[in-house]
Amino acid sequence: MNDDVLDGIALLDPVDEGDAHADARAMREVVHARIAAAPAPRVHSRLLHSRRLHAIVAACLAIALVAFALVSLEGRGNTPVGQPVDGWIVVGSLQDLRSAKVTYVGSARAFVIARQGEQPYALSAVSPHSTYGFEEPLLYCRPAGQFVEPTHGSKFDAQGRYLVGPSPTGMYGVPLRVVNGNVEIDAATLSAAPSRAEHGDTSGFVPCPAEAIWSEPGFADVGGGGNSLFDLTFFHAPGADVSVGTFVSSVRGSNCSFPVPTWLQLTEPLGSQPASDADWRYYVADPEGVWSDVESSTYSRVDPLPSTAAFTGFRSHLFELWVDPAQVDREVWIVRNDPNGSRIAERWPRVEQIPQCYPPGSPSPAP
Amino acid sequence: MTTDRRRERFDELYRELAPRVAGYCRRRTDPEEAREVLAETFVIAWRKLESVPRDAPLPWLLATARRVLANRRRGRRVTTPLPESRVPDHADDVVGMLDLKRAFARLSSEDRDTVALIAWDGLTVAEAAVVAGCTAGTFSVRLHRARKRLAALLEPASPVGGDR
Repeated sequence: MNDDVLDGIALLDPVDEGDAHADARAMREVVHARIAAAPAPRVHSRLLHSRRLHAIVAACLAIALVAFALVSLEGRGNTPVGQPVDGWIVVGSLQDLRSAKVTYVGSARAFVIARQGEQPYALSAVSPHSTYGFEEPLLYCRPAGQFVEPTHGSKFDAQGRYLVGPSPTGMYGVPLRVVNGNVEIDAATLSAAPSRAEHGDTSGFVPCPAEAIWSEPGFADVGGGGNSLFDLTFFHAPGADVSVGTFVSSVRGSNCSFPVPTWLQLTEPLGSQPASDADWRYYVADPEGVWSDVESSTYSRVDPLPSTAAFTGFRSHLFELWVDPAQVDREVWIVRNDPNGSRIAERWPRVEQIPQCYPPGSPSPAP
Repeated sequence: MTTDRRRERFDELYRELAPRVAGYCRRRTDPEEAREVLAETFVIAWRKLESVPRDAPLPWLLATARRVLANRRRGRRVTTPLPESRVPDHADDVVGMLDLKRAFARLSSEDRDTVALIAWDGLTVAEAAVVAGCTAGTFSVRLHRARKRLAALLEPASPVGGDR
């Protein structure tokens, strides 16, 4: 595609510059009024450092706090659970929440984590990897005690700190307070998400099991009915900071509505950040020949692995990536170590392009 | 920074960049909400003025507007429709324009936003990456793929990339 198409897209721009300027003019006074009503930011001035003013401010604050506490005590008993009051939503009693440990608050799209002996806290159930118009949900994976983004595979520990996947940061925090034994959260306000680096050591990371499924709103568990969740698996080398640019695999092709095919994206060299699409290499496993542009015969089970194959150090839960450096332009091997002790190796051929999905109603590729 | 200097800097920011932020918001929601998001974004900018980069404030403002929009949608689970373009009807007669419009509408919202940050909001790749919350390298790859998928959609009976 050349830049003409981008130029064409520019012509589809729905916004008139005049409207944007009119909005800016119309909201200028509103913005200034809200700023005037907002708490003043820290300002260093002689006036604010005067002792007399400090005393007056302290007295006013004390009166306001006492008044607020009295009003709160009076009205709290009638506050319905789940209804926002001044932006705060009453989730439930701290005692009940502690027995549940992790509670999903659907109306606020947030999790409240309340463990015995710890201060309760709340995290947003919307992934920081969300992009405009598509808010990726997060689920709490009970078997692993971590939060997962099922669509793209990002994972976070119970404190919301980044573990693995394409998310740029850890999870967003949600303000929480305890009033008369009730936990309240302000879901309209998010606190800054911790950076990836703030997590520190992830060597003890145990991923949410690949067979975990959606069990109830907000949660993933192993066993029972439900929808498969984990379409994407992010392989990582020990200690490596893994991103989508490193090594990605779709364990199932369900986002293409295909039940079987799977593909890998590897960067060249392995583990590097891609500067362009040319840095990707694609490998597929398509045993049923669903993708017309893949020679299914070249995918095969391998037993034993060729003696030239070497483990790369990249793994994801049960899977390992093996390559022969002399053959990496043609094929890689994926080795699955099942918990029952069996070990299965598959040869995945390289293809020129990532396999394509076909939209509903369009002519489907001939199997 | 004194109050006067803060006010001065804020006014300058608003004067120069509020129309750009307003345009960004209008491309992503209805006019009424766009104005609210604009106001909320600049109130946040006032509170966090010391955090607004002096050399490149626009990506910071747009990234803030994006988060404000996301916050407002939280709980509503709104799927944003593609805004109507300003292309006059007769432009649809121009060869390819209607196809382009349809193809663009069929892209995923993520792909549309990636392309829109460049084509509509006029950002560089580095600036757009700040707004999208990723590295410039990752954004380049996203843009490249979005353009490839757009190109594929412009081909008759062509497939759509399955990268999500």
